Amino acid sequence: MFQVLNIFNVITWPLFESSVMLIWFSTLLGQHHFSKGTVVIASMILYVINMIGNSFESPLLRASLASTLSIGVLFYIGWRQSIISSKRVLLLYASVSSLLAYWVVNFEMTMTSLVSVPVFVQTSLDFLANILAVILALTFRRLQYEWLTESFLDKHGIQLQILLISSLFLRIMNDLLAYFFAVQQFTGSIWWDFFLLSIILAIIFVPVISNQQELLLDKINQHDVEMAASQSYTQQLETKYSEFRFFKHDYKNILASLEYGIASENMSDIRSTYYSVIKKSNDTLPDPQILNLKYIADLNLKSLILVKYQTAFEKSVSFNVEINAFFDIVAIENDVTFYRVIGILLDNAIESAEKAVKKTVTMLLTDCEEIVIINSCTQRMDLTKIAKLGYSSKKNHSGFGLNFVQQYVNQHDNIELTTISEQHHFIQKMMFTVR
Amino acid sequence: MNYYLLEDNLIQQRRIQHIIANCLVFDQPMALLDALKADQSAKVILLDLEIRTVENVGLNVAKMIRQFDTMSQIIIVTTHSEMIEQGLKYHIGMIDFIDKAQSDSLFTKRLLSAITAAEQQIRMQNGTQSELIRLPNGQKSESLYLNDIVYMTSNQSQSHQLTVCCEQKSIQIRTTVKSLPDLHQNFIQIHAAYVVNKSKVSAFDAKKRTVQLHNGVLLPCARKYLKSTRQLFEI
Repeated sequence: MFQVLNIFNVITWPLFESSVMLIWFSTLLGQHHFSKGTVVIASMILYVINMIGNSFESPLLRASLASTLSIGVLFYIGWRQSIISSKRVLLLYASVSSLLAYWVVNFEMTMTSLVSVPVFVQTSLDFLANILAVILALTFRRLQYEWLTESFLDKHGIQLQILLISSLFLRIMNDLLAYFFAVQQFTGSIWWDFFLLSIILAIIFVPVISNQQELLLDKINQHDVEMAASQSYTQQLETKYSEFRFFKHDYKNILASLEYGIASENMSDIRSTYYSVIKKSNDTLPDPQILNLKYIADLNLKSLILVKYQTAFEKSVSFNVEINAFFDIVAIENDVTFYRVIGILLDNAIESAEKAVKKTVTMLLTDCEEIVIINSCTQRMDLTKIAKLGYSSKKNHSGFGLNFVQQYVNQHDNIELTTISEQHHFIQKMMFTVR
Repeated sequence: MNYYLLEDNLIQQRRIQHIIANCLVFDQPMALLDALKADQSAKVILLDLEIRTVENVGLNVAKMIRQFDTMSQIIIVTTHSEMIEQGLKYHIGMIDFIDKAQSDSLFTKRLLSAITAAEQQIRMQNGTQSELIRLPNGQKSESLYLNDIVYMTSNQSQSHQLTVCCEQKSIQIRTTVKSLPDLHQNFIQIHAAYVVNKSKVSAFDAKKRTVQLHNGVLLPCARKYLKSTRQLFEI
């Protein structure tokens, strides 16, 4: 019976280790679903690695080879699938998931070595610990939490560096201790295990928490900007309104003098009055500058457009929104990334229009299926590289915006983006497939 | 050159007829459309946006005209200055937008210059209606004139992005270079990343392996396509 259990343990152990590692890795990558083939191949490779690692005679190799190689494999998978672009973040996640995968079993082994138990009990406890590790990993996966802090880590290089170094350091420490454990110079300590766990958790949660905090701050700032924009918009509407009232007043006067001119049949009087009214009405009457936003159902989109309108207004770019039917796309509602995409496109349009002679940006929203942003520009652009990461026509810019837009569009099957560059106009056309 | 006018106000009709003498005047959109369909040559069409107090009739008429006639020039004559130029230009490819509410001399000047520009445009097209070609763009498609397309090239950053270089503009669409030669016999692949419009090639250099286009652009010709390209352009 014991023999069977022992062999069973030897065979299943690497399986557990590899699957736990994969589960953690995918959880850390933001609930990324690997394809079946990838999962099978990766777990087979990890299985073989762990199997080989455990069968080495030398304790040093046994301790360090498997863990190092499995980090390498995880890293390779993540890199090949290009889930996230930053290699350092990938390495961090790979080493953290390997640390997490080994932790439960390490803890159990420490406990059993401190409280000496019969070999039979220890083997069954090993098995139980493996199952517990799987359950733990799966539970965390269940939480469906948005882990993804890649953009945050990308922005904070130093923090990433520290996290990466500490996770690699822990990994090395762990390997060293495992080596001492194997040559029986070290009997294990609960304190070390708890210390390790808390550091791992810190590595995971510190960026998550500070990311959340940053997002919250962003939201508050954005709210302020929106408030300011809508306030100044109201102000502009008010000034327009008072202009209209003045005009209404004038208009009555002009009509009266016209009537007088007609009564006295004085043609020159009539003519001069008439032309003055025409001139005046051209000055004051319908101004296309007033945004036609009542047709936009999405409040967030509306406030985004308002904010950009204000930006354009400050840069003396005329910003028009043309929309003549109710615009409401369910697919993109409350999709924060979509607002960011539109924001990037509008920012680009405004900045490019600023340099042109005739500074105009026009946004057309038609029939719930197209958003077109047209801006004036100085020259025809080379479209073959605009979406390339790091390409920017502006100085001191990272060239990140359009690349982000392109990635977003590629991820969404129901959105197409077409870019048209003419001599004096630059057009971004976004088409939606309404289902 | 034939001129057509859609306008329901008698005074305005006379005002425009006074400027353009041989102008055919219509006050019913349907009658205008029938007349336009009967006339195959390139025309200059003047439209009022508001007919019998119904807003945007003119715009819909313009869209309908564009469905069967792409070479005629459309000029909008209206009091609706809040309809902004850009949208109209984008939707119907109109050439100019003239506000009725301006002094007569200015109005005449604007109208005449718009008509001159329209005539020039028609002359440039040689009065031939170009073949429209539908390029796939992801799940949608983009229609372009065949003789406007010069060459097409894949983007450096993404293999499924493609830039179509036309005479006056370039357009980025989502499709593959490989699928292009099947769309029309004039599209010739000369390189893994380049497909040219046959009628736009001005020279071919087999030694340097380059293809020169009529606008001066030099494109590389890959060895793989050298033979087929030589057969086409070098006799």
